[in-house]
Amino acid sequence: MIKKLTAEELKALLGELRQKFLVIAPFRVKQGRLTKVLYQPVKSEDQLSSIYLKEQPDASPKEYFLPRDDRLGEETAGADCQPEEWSDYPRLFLGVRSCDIAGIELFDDVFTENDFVDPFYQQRRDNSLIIGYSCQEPADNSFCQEVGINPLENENVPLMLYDAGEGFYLKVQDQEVLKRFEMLDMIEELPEVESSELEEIVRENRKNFSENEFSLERGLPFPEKEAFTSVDWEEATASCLGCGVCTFYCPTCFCFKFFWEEIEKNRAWDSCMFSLFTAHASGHNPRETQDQRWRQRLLHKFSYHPTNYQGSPGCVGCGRCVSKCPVNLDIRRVLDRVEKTLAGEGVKGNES
Amino acid sequence: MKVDNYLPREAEITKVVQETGINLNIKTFHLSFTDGEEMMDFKPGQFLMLTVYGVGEAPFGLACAPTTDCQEIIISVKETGKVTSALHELQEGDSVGIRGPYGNSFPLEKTSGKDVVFISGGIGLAPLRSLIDYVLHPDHRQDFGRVQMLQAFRSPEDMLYDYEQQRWENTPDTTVKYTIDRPCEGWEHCVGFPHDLIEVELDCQTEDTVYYTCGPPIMIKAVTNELVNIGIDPEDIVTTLEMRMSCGLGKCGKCNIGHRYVCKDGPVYSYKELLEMPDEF
Amino acid sequence: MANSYKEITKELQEIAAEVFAEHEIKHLVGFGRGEFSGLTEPVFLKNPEEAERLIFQDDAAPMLSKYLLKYKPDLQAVVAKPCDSRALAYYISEGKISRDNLVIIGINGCPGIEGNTACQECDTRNPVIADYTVGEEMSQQELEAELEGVKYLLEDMTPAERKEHYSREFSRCTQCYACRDACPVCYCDHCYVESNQPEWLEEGSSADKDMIFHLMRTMHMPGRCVNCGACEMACPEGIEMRSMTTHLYHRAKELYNYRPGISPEQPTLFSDFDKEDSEPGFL
Repeated sequence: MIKKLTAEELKALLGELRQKFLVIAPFRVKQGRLTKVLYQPVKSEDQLSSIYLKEQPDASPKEYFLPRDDRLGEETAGADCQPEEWSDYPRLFLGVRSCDIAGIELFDDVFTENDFVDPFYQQRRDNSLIIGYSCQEPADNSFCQEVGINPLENENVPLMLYDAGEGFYLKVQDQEVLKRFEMLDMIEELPEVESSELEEIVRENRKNFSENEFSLERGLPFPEKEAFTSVDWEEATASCLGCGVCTFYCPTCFCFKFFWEEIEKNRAWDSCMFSLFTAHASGHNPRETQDQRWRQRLLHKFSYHPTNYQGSPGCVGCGRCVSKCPVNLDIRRVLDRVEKTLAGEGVKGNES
Repeated sequence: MKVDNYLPREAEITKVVQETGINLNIKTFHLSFTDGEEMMDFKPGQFLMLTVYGVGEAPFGLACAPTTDCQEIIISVKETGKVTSALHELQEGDSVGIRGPYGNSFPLEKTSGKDVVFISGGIGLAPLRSLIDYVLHPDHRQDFGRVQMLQAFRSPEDMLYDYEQQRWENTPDTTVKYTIDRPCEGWEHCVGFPHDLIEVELDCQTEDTVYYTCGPPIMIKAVTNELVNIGIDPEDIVTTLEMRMSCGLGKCGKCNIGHRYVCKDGPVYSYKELLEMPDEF
Repeated sequence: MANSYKEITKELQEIAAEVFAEHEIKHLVGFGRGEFSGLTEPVFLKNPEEAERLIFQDDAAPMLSKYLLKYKPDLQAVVAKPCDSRALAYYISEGKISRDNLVIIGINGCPGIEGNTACQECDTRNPVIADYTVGEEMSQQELEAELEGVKYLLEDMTPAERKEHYSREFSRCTQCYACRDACPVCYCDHCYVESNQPEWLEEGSSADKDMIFHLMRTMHMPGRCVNCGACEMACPEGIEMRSMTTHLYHRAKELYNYRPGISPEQPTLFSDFDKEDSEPGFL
């Protein structure tokens, strides 16, 4: 089922949805010298006209699922304690691109596995509805197609939004979910169009994605031990400063730490790029140098995660780690080096 | 589906034993749950996450065996960091939090019917004790063959569990040997590092014997090398890894070695498995 | 006059070949173009054939001096913006690195970095220390003319206004530590952030704790900060990182006529204490 609507109609629909949902959408936000695109809750009707879908948001919506600071509860509350009710309204995320949808799916794999469910994540996930968004052109430094992601279409969200220049198309992909959130009627009222109209637009947009200098030749996972030992990681990552920007902005990085405030137990993002991440209380540190930490970040995404999750990549190719890096260290360049080394073309440097 | 909210059960410290002198400062804590619910179900080799309220959490290998008469949890703790220092300040009657048990366990099935050798260094004896007590327990003793132990300590005053040793020595078909780093007046046992004593002090069979070793990383490496040198199959050498761990559930990422999460897939690994893993521990 | 990026790039490539011919260096640290990104990134050149990879662009923000500490004591060559040369002079004055282990290719008349507010108030447009230079030197007269009437960040604000500004800016901090890691003079082997016994900085990312991090970092900066702006350029949250440090920089300049890293022989600010020094407090 494909619906066509004007910008005004989309706004009206979102206005209506605001009665049921906390709508979270990308906005342009000024932060010091930077103008960023960030997901923020729509606080008033007027803000609907400022929603900005044209560019890839600077950050994925991951903080809405795994907050940077997450209060878990009083540590004396006991193992049966349920997470606090933290929201009266379900949340609707508007304009989430395929890369970020894949990021959330990866979180689903990790935090709602058969033998383990994170109740905090699950609660946030269960009351969230995602409206996907079809990219019109590749974001800076992105390589999503190389990790098997289709930037134009995504069947894993109940609704997918397409910008047609003049107006929008909305593709209904899962009516059951829309029913559960009591919003199917609203969508059904919109005028329906033939799928060929939309297909033509997608076909046109796809042309913008044809060229990519970078390609990933090798299937995942990368061979663990071989990639670990044979690549000259120091040379490939020499410029890394050791900050956590790449991991904080990564839609798939989920590693965390606990911290305590009095008897409150909290969880915060942690980063494998930090020297303290693996340091033992005794002082021993299995990853003493920055290139070892870089190796961990890359191989977690391209070897370890795919090994644990049926070949599914741990990277969604959004390119943010490149764009945000203070020294523009490019994961594609390092991947290229890894691939060449594994293919036997690379020159092996000194083991560090 | 198993839900884990990362929050601990409350337990009370029922007994504190000062194991060593203050140089190493190891204390053993006996704990029992205060919620009146059942004792947790665990296997030898597993570990728990212990919360010192208001301070933080740290992993400790269980130093007790899940035998029928097991009523309490035992852990041995060396004072090293923030959490262990705070724990060392606590006394009988104080409360702590416990999550777990977590991790895999020592391969009991594989060991069943075979001879068992335990080689420990310092506090590495603590996690092995969960299996030693299990194997030597009257309910299980007949399920295993001969038991040999070689326990290494820095000095006589750093010996652990001296109140248990007599009981272990008196178990049928069991020998216990002790060694310290340097000669010392009045010491009648071995002197030297355990890997140098393996051939002389232990009767190492290459068949139907499982070797368990735990201690500082450098000792584990030296011992496993020596065992392999004398012809032991790496599959028959079992150790338990100590890594930084926070969640215990294979999520937070700190104990990641290759695709494995030591807190979930480990901490117990055969030397054969370790050889296949990236060298990052 | 400031030199053009193009001219500097051309000269750098020529001089790099000379440097390789004249010195047995481990590598030449400079800027190159990212193979896939097209963005400027630090490169570590190993042989003269790579000289043509060198570029200088308006996005060459990272301070290359920082990498030299990682590979010392090997003999290394480095492309140094004037601010980088000051960081190097400071390292030498602190005994962090030996002058004999450095081959410095200084950039004269630095045209500055796009978006870096430090460049607008820059008082060092030629390298303070160099073995080779590229570009025309900028005259003192020209420099003074450019700085005429330039106010530094928040110069005219009252302490109360500044405090308000700091609180707002630093509330965006995510504790990624890019500012610290990009800073050439944040070179401690063991940063207080990484100390948990004692735990100087409690874990957690409340606005208070973010502020404590920045205040503690700032407290380490007077007499060290060369006012290069790398911290601000590195911050992914666009925090006006310099708003605090530049104030200290300019206060030290006004009160004690002290500018860090102006020469390798200069004593450090705090080792140069004089009973007559005024002590007005600084925030």
